[in-house]
Order: sequence, then C-alpha cells, then structure tokens
Amino acid sequence: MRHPWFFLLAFPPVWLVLHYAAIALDVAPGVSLWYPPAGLSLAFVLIFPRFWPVLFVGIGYVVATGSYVADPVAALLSWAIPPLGYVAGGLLIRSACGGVPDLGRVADLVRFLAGAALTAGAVAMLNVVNFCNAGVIPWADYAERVRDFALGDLLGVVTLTPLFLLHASGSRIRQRGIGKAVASMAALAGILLLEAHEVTLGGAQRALSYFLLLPVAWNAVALGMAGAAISGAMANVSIAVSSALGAVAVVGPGTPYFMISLACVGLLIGAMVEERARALADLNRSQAAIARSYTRFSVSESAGKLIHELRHPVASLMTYAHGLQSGPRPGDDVAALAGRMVAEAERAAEILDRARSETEAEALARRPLVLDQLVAEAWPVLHELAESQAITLRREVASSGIRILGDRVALMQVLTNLVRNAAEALAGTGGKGVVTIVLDRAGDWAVIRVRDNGPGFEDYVRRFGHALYASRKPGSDGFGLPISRVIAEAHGGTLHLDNAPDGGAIAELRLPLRKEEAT
Amino acid sequence: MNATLAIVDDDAGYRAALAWYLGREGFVVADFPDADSFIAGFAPDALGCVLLDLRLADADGIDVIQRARQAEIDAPVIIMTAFADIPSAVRSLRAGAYSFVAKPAGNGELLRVVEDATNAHREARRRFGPATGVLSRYRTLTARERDAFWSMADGCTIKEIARELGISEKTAEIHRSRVLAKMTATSLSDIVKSAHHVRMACEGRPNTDKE
Repeated sequence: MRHPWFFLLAFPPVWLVLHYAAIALDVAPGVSLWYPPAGLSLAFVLIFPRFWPVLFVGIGYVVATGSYVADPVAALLSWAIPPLGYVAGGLLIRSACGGVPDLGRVADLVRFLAGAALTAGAVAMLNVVNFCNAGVIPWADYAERVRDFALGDLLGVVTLTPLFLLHASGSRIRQRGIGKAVASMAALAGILLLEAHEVTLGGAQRALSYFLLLPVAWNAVALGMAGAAISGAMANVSIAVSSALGAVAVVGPGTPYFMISLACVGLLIGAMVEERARALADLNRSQAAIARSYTRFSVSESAGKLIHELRHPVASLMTYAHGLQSGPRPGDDVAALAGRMVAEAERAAEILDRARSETEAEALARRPLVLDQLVAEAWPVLHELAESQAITLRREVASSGIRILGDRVALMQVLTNLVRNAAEALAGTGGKGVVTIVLDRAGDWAVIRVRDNGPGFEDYVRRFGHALYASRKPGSDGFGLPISRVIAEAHGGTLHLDNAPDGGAIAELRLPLRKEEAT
Repeated sequence: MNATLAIVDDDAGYRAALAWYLGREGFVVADFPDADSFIAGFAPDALGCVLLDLRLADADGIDVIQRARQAEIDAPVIIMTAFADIPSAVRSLRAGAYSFVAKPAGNGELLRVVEDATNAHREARRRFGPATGVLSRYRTLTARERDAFWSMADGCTIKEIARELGISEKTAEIHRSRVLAKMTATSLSDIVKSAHHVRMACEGRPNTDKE
C-alpha cells in the first residue's frame, strides 16, 4: 500500500458509519443481526498491521459517548477487548499465512476462516463476561449472547473482509466472453430483485433468500474470488437490509447461519476456481518457457561447442553418403554401411539431446521442493485431467517428505504429462481405468511412478521414448513424453518407460535427492 | 603396389568412415586413435601419406609431425582440422605438413589431397630414397663429422671442407671417409639424399637451406 495515510484517516469514520448502520438495523432491541465493523477491523489489521492502534479510535468514541455501561472499569474493558482481540486475531492469521492471506489459495482461505471464527468466538466470550459482570446482561443470557455476538462478528468478517483482501489475491480470472459477463451481471441483479421482493412482501418467511446461493455460487465459478467476495457481500447486505426494512422485522433463527454459509461457500468455490486458474496459467507459462528454450540454444554460447561435437558424426555421415552416391561397388557391404550410418546419425542426435538438456538445465530455476507438496499442488489439475477421461486417480505415498531441488512448474508439467498420457491411454475403458501416482525413494533417488492399468506402452514408445510417429491417440501431440524426459534430464534425473507384468504402463521419473548438507 | 594411408584421429566413427572410403579407393589403410600408437605402429618405409587430426587429445598435431620425422617416417602429412583458421594452417605447413584440409572435408577433395601427397611421396622416394635408418646413422656422427656431413651435402670439395672447418686437408679426408662409412654411403649423392631426410627431421642444420 503506497498511501496508507488515507486509509488510516478514513478508517475511524467508516468504522463508525458501519457501527451505527449495524445498530440501526437491529432486528430486535439490542440485538443486531450482524456486525460489519468487525470485518473492517480485521481487514485493517491484516493489511496494515503496524497501525493497529487506529482500531481503538472508533470504538473509543462509541464507548465515550454511549452510556450503556456505567461502571468505569467495565467501560474501559468494553473499549479494550474487541480491538485487542482483532489485533491478536489479525496477527495470528498473518503469521499462519506468511503475510496478507491470499484468498485465491484454498489453504490461505481456510486459515483465514478458522482464524476469523476463533477471533470472533474469543472476543464474544470475553466481551459478554465483561457485560454480565457489569450487570448489563444477565448471566442467564450469557451463552445466548456469546453466540449472537460471535455469529454477528463472524458474519461481518466473512462478508466484508474478503472485499478488502481482493487486491492481495490478484485475481487471475479474466472475463471469459460476453455471455458470462452478462450472466454474472444478471445474477447480481437477481440478488437485489429477490431481496427487494422480500422487502415488499414483508413476510417473516425468508424462503426466497435460499435462492441466493445460486447466483453467489455462479459468480464464484465465473469470476473467481472477486465474484465470490462481491456477490457474497451483496447477498448478505441485502438480506440484512431486507430483514430490517421488512414490515415484520424478524430474523429467522437460522438466518445468521445461512448468511455465514452463503459467504463461505462462495469464498471456497472462488478460491478453488482461482487456484485452478493459477495452476493452469503456471503450466501454460512453463510450456511457453520450455518452447522458448528449445530455440534458445541456437544463439547461446553452447552453440560453438555443439558445432564442434557435431562435426565428427556429420563428417562421417558425409563420407559414407558421398561414397555411396554413385552406387555401391563390389565388396561394399551395404547393410553394414547403413548400420554405421545409423550409428553416426544416432550419435548426432545424442549430442543434440544432451545440448538441449544442458540448455534447459540453465533455464530451470531450482528450488528446494518436497514431493508430497508438489503432488498436492498439482493435484487439482491432475484430478481434472483424470476426470475428463472418467479415470480414477490415486496417490500412494510409500515414502513421505522426500526432498529434491527442482523447478516446481516444470516438474508439475512432467506430472501433468505423465498423468495425461496414462489417462488418454485408459480413455474408453468405461470408468475402470485407474492411474496411481506413487512417491518413493530408491537409494539416492526420489522416485515418482505413474502407473496405470491400461494396455501398456507400445514397444515403439518404450524404445524411443516418444510417440511422435506412432501415436494413434486422437488429440495427443506426442510431445508430452519427450518434453518430460528433457525436464527429467535437466534435473539430472531420468524418465524410464516400462510395462508392468500384468500389462499396465509404468512411467518412472527419478530425480536426485536433495543432499541434506545442501540445505 | 598399393599406397599405404595412415589415419590418425581420436574419433573412432570418423576414422572408420575414412578407412572405408579411402580403402575402397585402393589405399591400404592403417588407422590410429592417437599419436603414440601411430608412431609406434606405422611402418616407416611404407609409401603413401598420413592424415593427421590437428586436435589430437594427447598431443598437438604439429608436434606429432616432428616426432614422426624423428621416427624416420618420411610420408607426407596432411593436417585435418576442425578449426580452419589461418594461424594453425601456417603453423602446420611451417612444421612440415604437406597440406591442410578442413574437417569435414568432401570425399573428392580428400581423395585428391591424399593422391597428391602419395605422388609427392613417390617422387621424394625416387629422389631421396627412404628415410629408414638415415637418422639413426646420422646420430652416430660426432659434432665434427656432422659439420663435414653438411659441407659434403652442400657439394663442397675436400679443400673447401678443410677451409670451412679450419682443419687440414688430411683430417678433412679422414672425416669424409668416416662420414661415408657411418652413413653407409657409396657416393656423395647418397649423402645428399640423407641430408634431405635429416633436414626434414630438423636435426643438424635446420632451415639453412630451403628447397
């Protein structure tokens, strides 16, 4: 944030407006349906943790001007408890997420929701103890009030805070087509219409609100976290407003629960969609990077070395070819000569392959990785791949916590290629296909084995490591295996293709274990 | 009689290709992976030429020419090099290479160079005889006798030898007969032939007389 001063100055008045709005929307004397200032406070601490004292300003004004607690000690406590609780909760969430939570990641979202629930519960418990102690609330009502306070705060948080955190999640979802944009707008308008309808009906019965799940879920799917946060907030604000404005201002007993669930479902869908979109974007980026590195070595420094190494096989090939150009002579063993020419051509191909792996080794960024995490990160994409072919995808961790040094995105690409390959081989097996990813350790190697129960690799593929000329699979370009092999070799590893005794294909990726002393 | 061709190259595949092609063109091919095996294994009296890779792993190709000459191998050497640069061409020709081909060379060019070199060797053999034994005999000469040897090779008379070396004609006469005996020469023309081979190996008086 480049201009925190604006937010610092704006925070107290905005907080007060939300506070009085919440009070004004009280659905029963002294009971507000929800408490949006809590969401604002949490968002503020999460984004500007250094300026936490600002949280005490708004509530200080309320406590100073209000007259609902006579006892000065109790008044002091009622001023201090909520902001202290939110500062603590905000810092807790920040430390769990390593900074501002990125709601575009399911893991961060879950940490955020858990932290928010914990904070709201703790603040409510302490606050109500103080009020009961001061005699404002009878002890008999303790549990009920704690529940109301906690639900109200949590509702405020799940509704408002995500809106403020949107900038941190940097949504990758771009508008995909006019149709979806129109549908999203229609869904948002539908939310308002439904609620307006509720208000005019004025019934105590809020049945129509349940339909709000649909546009919220739709927007989360179509627009990711932004769609989830905005439409969730709109839905909850309109439920609250209509509850207060309705002819019979009554909150159904389940309404706060429904509103919290509504917001959370939207956020979860949004995070999952967001995460998948990011994984796909990462994969596309790495694919582009790999494509670039294929062409790069022609201009790189290694070109000179390459030319030198290629000289011999090329010279040999030329010698044979020119010698045979005018036809074989008596005494020429053409088959043996052809064999030699094949050997020379293969030598040239090997030199090219090695140069390519070396070039890519430079292009890859090596970072410490844990295999389990790598697979977990790739899982949504892999799962999607398997589902698209109606295949079951399983994961077996024979050895966990295997550490390697590698390029996260490139290795995810290998996993994706291997699983795609297996899934395509199993397509049309009527849902009986199973692809298993096994994580194991063998000597100094980390092993990722992708096994299926299909017909196995064709001999050609097993021998040459690609299906460029043999592929009969529709929709497959045949580049997946060679690219995977290049990535494996660039990591100093291998990719071995084999068939299991019972016939299924096994692709085994071996990568050097990360040496502990290298940590 | 078929000419013999030595191929010295550290790349086995390319060696095999050359051996096949030039063997088919009528050469008796002997191929060697490095300088040591070439010098130890090549028959010095063979008629033909040597195809030598300048960038041998174990020795600079130019040193190899010197060592071959020392080992009384007098066949012309054709330098093959991947680095077709002027300095290495000049260096190899100055070191006594017959010719110079870029690698990879076309078969036609290679065959032409190899045949030229073989003809040159045949002509040199006709004029100077084989180098076999010449150097080892020359090495038995004393310093004084070597001086006499070079004067004889230049066609000096006994008088001139005596004046040049600052000795009496009698002593010059003794040196002359010793040189003839040690070099197993029957005439002055044998000494001239031997001098050619010694000069090629850069012993005695190198670079005094360029042919």
